[in-house]
Amino acid sequence: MSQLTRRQFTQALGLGAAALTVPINVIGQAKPKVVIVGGGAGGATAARYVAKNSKGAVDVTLIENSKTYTTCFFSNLYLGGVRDYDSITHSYDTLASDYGVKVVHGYASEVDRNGRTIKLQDGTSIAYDRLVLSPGIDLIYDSVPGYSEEAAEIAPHAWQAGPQTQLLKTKLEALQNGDNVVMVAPPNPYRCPPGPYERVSMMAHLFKTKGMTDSTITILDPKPKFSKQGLFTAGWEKHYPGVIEWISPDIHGGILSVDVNTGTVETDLDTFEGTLLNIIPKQTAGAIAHQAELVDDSGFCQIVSDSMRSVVDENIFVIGDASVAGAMPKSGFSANSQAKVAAMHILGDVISSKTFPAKYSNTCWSMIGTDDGVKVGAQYASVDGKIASTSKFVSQGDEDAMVRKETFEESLGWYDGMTKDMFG
Amino acid sequence: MNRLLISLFVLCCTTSSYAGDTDSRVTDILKLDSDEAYGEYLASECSTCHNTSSADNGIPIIHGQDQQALIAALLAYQDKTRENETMQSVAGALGNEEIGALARYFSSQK
Repeated sequence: MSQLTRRQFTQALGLGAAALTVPINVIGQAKPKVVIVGGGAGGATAARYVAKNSKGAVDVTLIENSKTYTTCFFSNLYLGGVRDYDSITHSYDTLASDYGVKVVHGYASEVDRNGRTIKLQDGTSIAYDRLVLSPGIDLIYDSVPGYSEEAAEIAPHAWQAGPQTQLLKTKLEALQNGDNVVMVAPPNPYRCPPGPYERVSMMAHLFKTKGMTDSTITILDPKPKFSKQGLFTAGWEKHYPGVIEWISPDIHGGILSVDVNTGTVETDLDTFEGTLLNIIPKQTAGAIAHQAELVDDSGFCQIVSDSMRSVVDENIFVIGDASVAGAMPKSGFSANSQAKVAAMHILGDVISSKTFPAKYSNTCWSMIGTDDGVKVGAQYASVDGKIASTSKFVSQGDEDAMVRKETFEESLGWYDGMTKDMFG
Repeated sequence: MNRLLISLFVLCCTTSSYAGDTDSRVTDILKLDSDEAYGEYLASECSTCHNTSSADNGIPIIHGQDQQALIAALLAYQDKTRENETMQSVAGALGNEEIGALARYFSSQK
C-alpha cells in the first residue's frame, strides 16, 4: 500500500475528494518517510523544518555525501581573508541529536519514482513517501572549451564550496605582486548572481591588504550586464582603482577557449593571460535530478509555484539551485525560503498539517570592501502559476558610509541566523 | 547603533508616544483573532535572519518582544517611516492579519 500515491490509493478505492485528506500515517502503520537529498541551504533547512514541525510524527532522512558542509555564501569572504575556513564549515550533528534527523553520508545516485525508493552508490536503498531533491548545481565543464574537471585542479572554479574553495585560496595566497588573475564568469542562469563580482572584490581586497599594488584582475563575461553592476563598479573605483577590469561580450566578442597549462583565455578580441585563472562554467541541476528525469530543456526542474512540488512527480519536491523558481535567483537564501514552503506542503501531505499560501523571500548581501556592504532582495508569491516578486529593493549608489557599514553588519547577522536555521 | 535605535524605538512604542493613526492601527490589529499556526509559518521567513541566540549581531532579536511594539515596528517599516530596505520590503508584503499573527507569535517566544 505504501507503494501507492494518495491519489492512486483513493482512486483504487473509488473514494471521493474528501478522502484525499486521509494522511499517510493513518493509511499505513509506520511513520511517513520523508527523504531529503542534499544537505545544503535547501536540504538542511527542509530536513530541520519537517523534523521540527512534525514533532516526531515523521521519519526524516537526510542524504548528504560530505561529512561537513562548507557554505558557498561567505566563501568569497574567506578568499579575501575576512573569514576563516572553519567559520564557514558546519556539522550535521545537531540535526541528528536535537531534531532526530537520520543523517546518511553517501552519494544518492538513483531515484526509482515508481517504487518510491532512492538508491545510494554503495547499494543502500531507502524508501520514501515524499522526497525532497536539493542537489544544487553541476558544472558543465566543457561549456568553456578546454576546461574540464581535471583542469579545475589547475584553474579552480570554486563554485561548489569545499576543496575547490581551499584550492583557489591557496593559489591566491601564492600570487606575487604583479601577478594577474583572469576570471571567466558564467552565463545565466547560475548560482549566486552577484557571486563572481563579490569574488573579484574580495580578491582585490586581499591584494590591497598584502600591498600587491601592481596586480590586476580581468573578468571576461559572457553576459552584457550583471547583478548590482552599478554598485560594484562604483565600489571597485572607490576601493581598488585600476585593479579590476570587466570586459563585456560586446568588447571581447566571445570566449573561445581556455588553456589552463599556459594560463590563457582566447576570445574573439584577444588572448588574455593570467598567473591564475578562475573559470566558472555554465551550470545545470545536480545529476540526480537528471537521472530522475525531472529537468526540462533549461537543464533545471520546473516546479509548482505554490508548493515547490515537481511538475513531473507529485511525490517529489525540488528546491534550491536545481529548480526553476520563477523570479527568484539561485541563492542560499532562496533555497532556505523554498525549503520552508516545501516542508509545509510535505507535512500537509503526510500528517494533514495546515497549509497556507506560499510566501518566499530572498536577500543577497555582497561585501565590496571593508565596512562596505550592499544588498539586493525581494519578496515573492505564487501569482498566476509563477513565482513573482511582490516587492523588491536594492542598495542605493549614494548611500553614506554608515548605511554601508550597517548593511555589512546585517550580512554577518544573516549568516548566523541562516546557518542556525539550516543546521539548528 | 542599530541596537540603540531599536531600543529607543521600542521604548517610544511602549510609552504610547507613537502617532495617533498608527496607534489606532495597532489597536485594530491587536483585536484580530490571529491564527497561531499561520503565525508560526510566517515567522519561519523571519528566522532566516532573526535567530534566538544571536547577541545583536547586526540584526535585532525579535523573540519575546512586546506584541504592540512589534506591530508598531512592522507598520513603521510598511509606511517607510523606519529605515531598512529589507524590512520595508518584508513589511510591505504583509497585511494586517499577517502582522497580527507574527506579532503574536514572536511576543510569545522566549
